Amino acid sequence: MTQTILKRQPSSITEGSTHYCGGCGHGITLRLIGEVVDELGVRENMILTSPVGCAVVMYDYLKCDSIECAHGRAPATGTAIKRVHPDKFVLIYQGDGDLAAIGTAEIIHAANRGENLTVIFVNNAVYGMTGGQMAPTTLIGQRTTTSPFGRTIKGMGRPIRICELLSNIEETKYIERVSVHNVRNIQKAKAAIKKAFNNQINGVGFSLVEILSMCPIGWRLSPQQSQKYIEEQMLHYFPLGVYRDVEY
Amino acid sequence: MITVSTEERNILIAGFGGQGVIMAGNVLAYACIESGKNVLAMASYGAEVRGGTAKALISISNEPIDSPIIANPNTAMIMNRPSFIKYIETIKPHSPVILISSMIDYHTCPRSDLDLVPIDATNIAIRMGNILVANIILLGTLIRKTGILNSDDVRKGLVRAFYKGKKHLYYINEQAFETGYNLI
Amino acid sequence: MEATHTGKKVLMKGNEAVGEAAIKAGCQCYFAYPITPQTETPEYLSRRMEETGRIFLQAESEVAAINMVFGAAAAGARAMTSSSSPGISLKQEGISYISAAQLPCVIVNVVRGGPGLGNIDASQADYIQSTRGGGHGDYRCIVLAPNSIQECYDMTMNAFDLADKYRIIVMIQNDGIIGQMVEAFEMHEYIPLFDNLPAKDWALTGCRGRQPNVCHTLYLGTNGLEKLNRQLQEKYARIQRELAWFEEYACENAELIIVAYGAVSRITKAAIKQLNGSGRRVGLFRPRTLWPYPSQRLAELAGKMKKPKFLVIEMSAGQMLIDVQLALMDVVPKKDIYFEGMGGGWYSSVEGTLKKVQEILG
Repeated sequence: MTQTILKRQPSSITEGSTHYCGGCGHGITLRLIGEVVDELGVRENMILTSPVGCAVVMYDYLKCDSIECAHGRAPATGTAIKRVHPDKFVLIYQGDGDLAAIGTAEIIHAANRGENLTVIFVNNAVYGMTGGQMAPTTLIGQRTTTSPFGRTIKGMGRPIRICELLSNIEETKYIERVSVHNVRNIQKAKAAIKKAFNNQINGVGFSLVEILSMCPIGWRLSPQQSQKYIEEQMLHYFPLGVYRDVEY
Repeated sequence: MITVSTEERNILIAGFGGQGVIMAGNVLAYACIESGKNVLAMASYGAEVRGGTAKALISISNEPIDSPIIANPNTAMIMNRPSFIKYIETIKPHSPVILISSMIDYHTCPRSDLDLVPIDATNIAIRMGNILVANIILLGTLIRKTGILNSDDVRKGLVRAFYKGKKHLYYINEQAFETGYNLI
Repeated sequence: MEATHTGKKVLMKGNEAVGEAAIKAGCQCYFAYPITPQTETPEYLSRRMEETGRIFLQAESEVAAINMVFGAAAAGARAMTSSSSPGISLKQEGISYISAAQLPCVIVNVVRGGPGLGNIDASQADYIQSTRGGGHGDYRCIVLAPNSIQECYDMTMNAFDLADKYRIIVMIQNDGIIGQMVEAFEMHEYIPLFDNLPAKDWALTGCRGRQPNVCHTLYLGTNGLEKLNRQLQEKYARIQRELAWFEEYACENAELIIVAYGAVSRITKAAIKQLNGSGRRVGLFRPRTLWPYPSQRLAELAGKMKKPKFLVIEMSAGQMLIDVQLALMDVVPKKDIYFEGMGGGWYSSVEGTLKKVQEILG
């Protein structure tokens, strides 16, 4: 296990540092994706759709063809790319504001059409890029810059559980929620990402991996406190596990 | 004073959806292509046709047709009472108006300057074995009455309009056309 | 109406002719959402794209449809969407992104009455929206304005070529009349507008054997955005130099030239024929490209007139009027540019045009 973590940077990832904050889960997720891209050898055969949000410049880090989508529209844009190039691997990377608020229609309909896409959904319960506003996945009671007194069910609704929601759509093939707040879970996350990649490569169909991710800056917590926050707060509301896995 | 040209034949076809308003218009338009005449057709669409009424306006001319808008048609073929009431005032004076006599109380027509041609097309069509050909019976009468198109071209138009899935309907419609053509 | 294939001329609605031209021009992807009065295009293409083994997708929304066009165009495919006014408003997000990313695609707007849900009749009230970009940021789309079914067909083919040549969005600005009316036209094979089109070496196809292609529109903290905007403006200036389509009718020796496009130009022409028949020297100038606007030619025509008088007729409250005034600002006093506008909900008419001309010429 330790070996995996210490091995050198995946070759599909640009050398140098990212703009992600210390303790942020995006960096870990990027690393995992890079490892999977290397292991499956898909870098030269893939097209990445990057979202609006913290991962917007992901194309600066992953050395593959990519398109920066409008906010929430990656599943629509990615659908078209996959339809034009069915032999290429299309990766959809989205955050919670992107996927679960402004792009709800696009993700539901891409899932419902059973598009053969791989969606990596990073859920850190806030809008990180704009400075920690309330997201559709913000927990009840969680304070953000637009819910300064804490999120309340009345008037703001409950956090949206995307895995539970999408797993009700019969055309989805694989839905799993993982987390990157500790080593054990990072390993599980990588396995899930790899499975979602392989599903598309093997023509299985729509796969989505939700990744619970730390946002120390948005949460106003230290990196260590943020890991603890996932363990103690988020996991209760967002249980990890496989929500749908249709064997083909 | 500038007067509006009447050289173009501007035909209104109106009735309930399902009576064959659009089909009659199609036959006319195809016949125009056969005869080398210019044609421009405009049918009601979208929300306008929800609820049952259908309308088609067809301009036929030897010259290029400029305006796609016809406010005042100079020929009409009317297949139901609501259309009769709605459009009768828009038709130009002295225009022929072919109408289904069994469905329209044409004696109450508020105008005396129109050339009304009542045809009992519904009952003739029923006797022929298909009530749906009433539209083509009326069209036959309209062609005879106006002389706008050669009847052979209309027959060719019928062939074009009743193709593919509608081929089996060609024969009875051809008969309907002949019947209507010979009614007056 | 079904197409007929005996002989050369076929009968179709404008919306269907647009669809068939897209097929002939090699449109590989079409994404749309139903809205009157353009729905015949998705209906027609749902069948024809399937028959020709291409991609038809009825999107969940107008927004999704344009973002699918974004993806397909970035992937190197010839892509199209169509809609009508309220739908085009929704698409503006994607239109801005596609323009920033300099991708080629074709968008058809069968303009209906507005504002709001308006009505389903013809209108030209989206002129400013189409010719000035429409969404956020400083960009333009080429805008073509057909006035017959033949032109719907021909211009749709041209639109794909222009889009590929300049890496720009080409909008076909139709209206409810042109989209819905049926005329006979020659359904010829694809006629390319240019001998060669630039290779799409920027397309997203997987980076095997080359550096990755990145299609992005965000430029933070560098002079990248300045560079992009300067490049865009240079491109637009080039297009303005190279493209200006128009039709002139009876403009020679005219004492009054009426400027009109789309369905209105047809109604206007009918009126002008009557005016000419009774000895009135009235001409028609019809822009066939709304952007770039054929301003130079309009000014030339004014220069030839002894006492130039112009009348702008449009189904909007003075939108194209601005372009005519700009074109003629140095050659025609503003008071000699007359205007007759209609809103969504009422049309111009031959009679109304005759009356207006009589008012102007006495």
